[in-house]
Amino acid sequence: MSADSGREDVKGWVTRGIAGATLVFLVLPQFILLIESFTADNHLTFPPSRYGLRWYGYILTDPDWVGALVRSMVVASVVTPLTVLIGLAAAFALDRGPRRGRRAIYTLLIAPMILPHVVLGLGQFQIAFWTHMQDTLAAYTLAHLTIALPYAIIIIGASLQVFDRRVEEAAQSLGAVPWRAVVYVTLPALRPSLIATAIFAFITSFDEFIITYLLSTRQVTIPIQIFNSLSFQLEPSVAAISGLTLIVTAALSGILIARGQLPGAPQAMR
Amino acid sequence: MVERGWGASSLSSDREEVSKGLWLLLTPAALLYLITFLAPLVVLLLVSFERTTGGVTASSISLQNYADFFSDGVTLRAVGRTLYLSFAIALGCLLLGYPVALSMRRAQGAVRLLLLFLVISPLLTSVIVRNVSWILILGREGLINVVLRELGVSDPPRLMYNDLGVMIGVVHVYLAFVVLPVFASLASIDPAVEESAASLGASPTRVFLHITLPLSVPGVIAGFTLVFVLCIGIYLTPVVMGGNFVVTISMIIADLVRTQFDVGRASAFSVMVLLMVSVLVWAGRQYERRHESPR
Amino acid sequence: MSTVQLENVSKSFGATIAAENVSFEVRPGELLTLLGPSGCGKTTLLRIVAGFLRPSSGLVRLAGKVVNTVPPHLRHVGLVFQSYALFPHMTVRDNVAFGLKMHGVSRAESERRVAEILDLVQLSERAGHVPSQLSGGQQQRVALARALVTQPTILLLDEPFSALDRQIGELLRAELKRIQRRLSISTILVTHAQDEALMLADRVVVMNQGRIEQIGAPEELYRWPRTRFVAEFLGRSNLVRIGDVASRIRIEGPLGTEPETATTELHGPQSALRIAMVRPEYVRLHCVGGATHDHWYAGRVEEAHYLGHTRLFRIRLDVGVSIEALTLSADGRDLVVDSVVFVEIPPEAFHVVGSSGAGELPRSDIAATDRLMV
Repeated sequence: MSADSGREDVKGWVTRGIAGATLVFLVLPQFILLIESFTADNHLTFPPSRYGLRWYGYILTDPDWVGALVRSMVVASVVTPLTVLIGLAAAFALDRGPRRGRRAIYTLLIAPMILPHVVLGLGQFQIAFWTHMQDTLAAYTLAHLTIALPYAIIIIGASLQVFDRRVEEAAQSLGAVPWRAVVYVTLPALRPSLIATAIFAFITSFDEFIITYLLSTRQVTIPIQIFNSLSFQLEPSVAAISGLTLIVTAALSGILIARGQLPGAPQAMR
Repeated sequence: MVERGWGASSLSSDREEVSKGLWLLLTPAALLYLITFLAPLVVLLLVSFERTTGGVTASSISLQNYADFFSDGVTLRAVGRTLYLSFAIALGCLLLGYPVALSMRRAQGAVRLLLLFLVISPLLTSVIVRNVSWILILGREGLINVVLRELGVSDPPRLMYNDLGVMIGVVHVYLAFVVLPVFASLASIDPAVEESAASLGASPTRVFLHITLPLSVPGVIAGFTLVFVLCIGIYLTPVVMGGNFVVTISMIIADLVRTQFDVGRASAFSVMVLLMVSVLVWAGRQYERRHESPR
Repeated sequence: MSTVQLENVSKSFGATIAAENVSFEVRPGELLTLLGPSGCGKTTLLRIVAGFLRPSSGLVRLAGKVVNTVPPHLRHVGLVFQSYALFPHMTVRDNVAFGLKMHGVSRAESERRVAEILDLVQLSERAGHVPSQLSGGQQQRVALARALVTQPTILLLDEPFSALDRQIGELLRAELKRIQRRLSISTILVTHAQDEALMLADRVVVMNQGRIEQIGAPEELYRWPRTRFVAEFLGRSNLVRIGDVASRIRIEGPLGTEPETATTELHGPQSALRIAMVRPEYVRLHCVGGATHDHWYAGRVEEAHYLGHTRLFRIRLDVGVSIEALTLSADGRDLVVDSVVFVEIPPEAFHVVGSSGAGELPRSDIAATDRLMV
């Protein structure tokens, strides 16, 4: 008996081992990067010989970097609320609308996430070119909005699906006009998914590279600036800006964790 | 008047108003996609028939671009490379991600949430940032080589500027897209079913092979297909992690635009890529439907 | 030798005690029911017997052998869940054959036994269907067949009928009993439905908050419950406090209230204040008569309910106690709310349950009391 359970234990530990190694694999790079970003050396070596905030100071004062940073923040700040609003409206329409065609519309709405961004960017680039809109913040905004919206549909859609509509009906029976019932009852219940959507939208926009790359000529965002820098030496400035991006997105994700809502979490909570 | 029970207004005029309101809600998204999604795709299709040389349109209706797709050795090799990489990456994600999904399923509450966060964390970081991090680990002066040198290994294996580097970089981020569907599939399995199998004499391994694994197949297919499709379009990671040695079809398209200004050919190639993706998504959906577990 | 034996088994989850010092045995061929409200620990015990939980202390024996550390797949038990837990991706035939496959039974032999058992549960025509195509009752029968085909040492059922409509449930209950008798297989059935327990069991284990209240045959438990809990859990009951005044017993009043001192003539031994139970079906009602008869009490009808085959009355006695009475619906037609009625409770209908405060009474004491009341 014990030999058999011994063999079973081994298999259990192998599975756990692979899972553990994979999880380390998942977070190790970010971890290393964070350490490296605090180097005070002139070049990136592992491990750094001296530590300091030298390169963080550099990127926050160098005009190219600052410009890119500002541009990324501006676009992301515009994209985020728009994504939440448009996504909420669309997800609601999908959830409460007729069942026929729902699958098709849903697939259409999340398509930008699945299709290669190069393809999308190319098409968008051509339209922007004809309308003389390439290299504008408006173009970036629209493009980012398109690839952020699928996240909104998925996250808010999942929340709506598990929402018990009878609570809304109870509000109506107490005298609330349908849209008011939604505002007072449904929206508060959706708050976690709205926050999650906002965070995903911000990060998606802030980090988007290829489409922005295709749309830009002179104006650059942070990812493009990093990319350009990569063509030369792997300067510590790259590590610093990457570290900054990481810290910003980690902080936002920390909010996500504190709120306890991540995509797939409704199932995870069970 | 249609009796539909709770949740439906029985006055037809009310229902009409509701429908109208709902369509209105869909309009912003629809408008957006019209401009930024559908129009670009249409444009792509139209432009794909244009022959351009040196940025000047020579003819407007030509299938030459498509012919080039099939005749150009470099392009075909890139397509082959892309498909090969996509498959390998999807497989890698599955082999590494399935145990993670299993562990997530076994975990409770806060631990499960933590695992979920760890799995998603690469998604929340920029593609550039991730690749920079990998350079720091896999590069010539990176962490692994430093450690290996300390251990006395004189000729360390090349982990970057090849297929392996690209695979590592992409598996890192797309793992989540396998873990989530597989986890969802696993979570929907009634534990009592597995316990029944155990009481009937199935050891834990046999319970997994005969019960858990078959019932998780829909999630596996969904995850695999998703990652495969996403990999078709990878651009940045092959550029950074593969150097000039790994060329994907997206890189070719991007190059055609930024350096050769051959928008016609780029569009044609894009259309071909879209076709490939659509076929794969459709095939995946069919396969998934056939293996849908009856609940 | 008993098929299953639990010796001083306890199980706690952190600070929660699910089962405390539980001991009982299942005799060969008997159907034992674990009966109690939700949370009483009955399912925990079943899972311990099946091997999915390890007891915090105590011994579990299957066919004489201690199996505390033996994993479920090596215990050879037959398990039927409340949700049936059929394998959704397999046909009925494959579901039932699964256990045989795990035990390495040959294909030919397996087919024979599967066909035999499907015949026994009358599902032969559905052998090729998948679970989603079956009704609840049919799924339950598949689950039963699947558990029985491997000829397990013991059959374990966890609230198997609770998900079914009443009529189907009753049919299946009868069928289960028939099959169990025919195969003479030791069985433990967990349920919270007392009528199910009374109908099916050879013996019943009544549980409450992790402890055993009483073990015995259904009739024994129903007529002579040892504790207040058992008295109230099995069927309807009237509970009254009994005090002694010399050789008389007074009905003091409903439990928990201050007694209205009105004495009646109930004989009994000298003892402290005790609780007595009277089943409503032993309370006789008379429309005429006087309170001067022995063991008769005057009162008014508070509630009258028609239950189809019986009538249930709630009567407020002049002495201040409310008593429930159950009659056949043919009788009592004239009794409506507010009618005057005379309640007769023969002393032998009382069964002393315990002192007011809880606790058990040794059985011999009760018998003596009964006899003395005559």
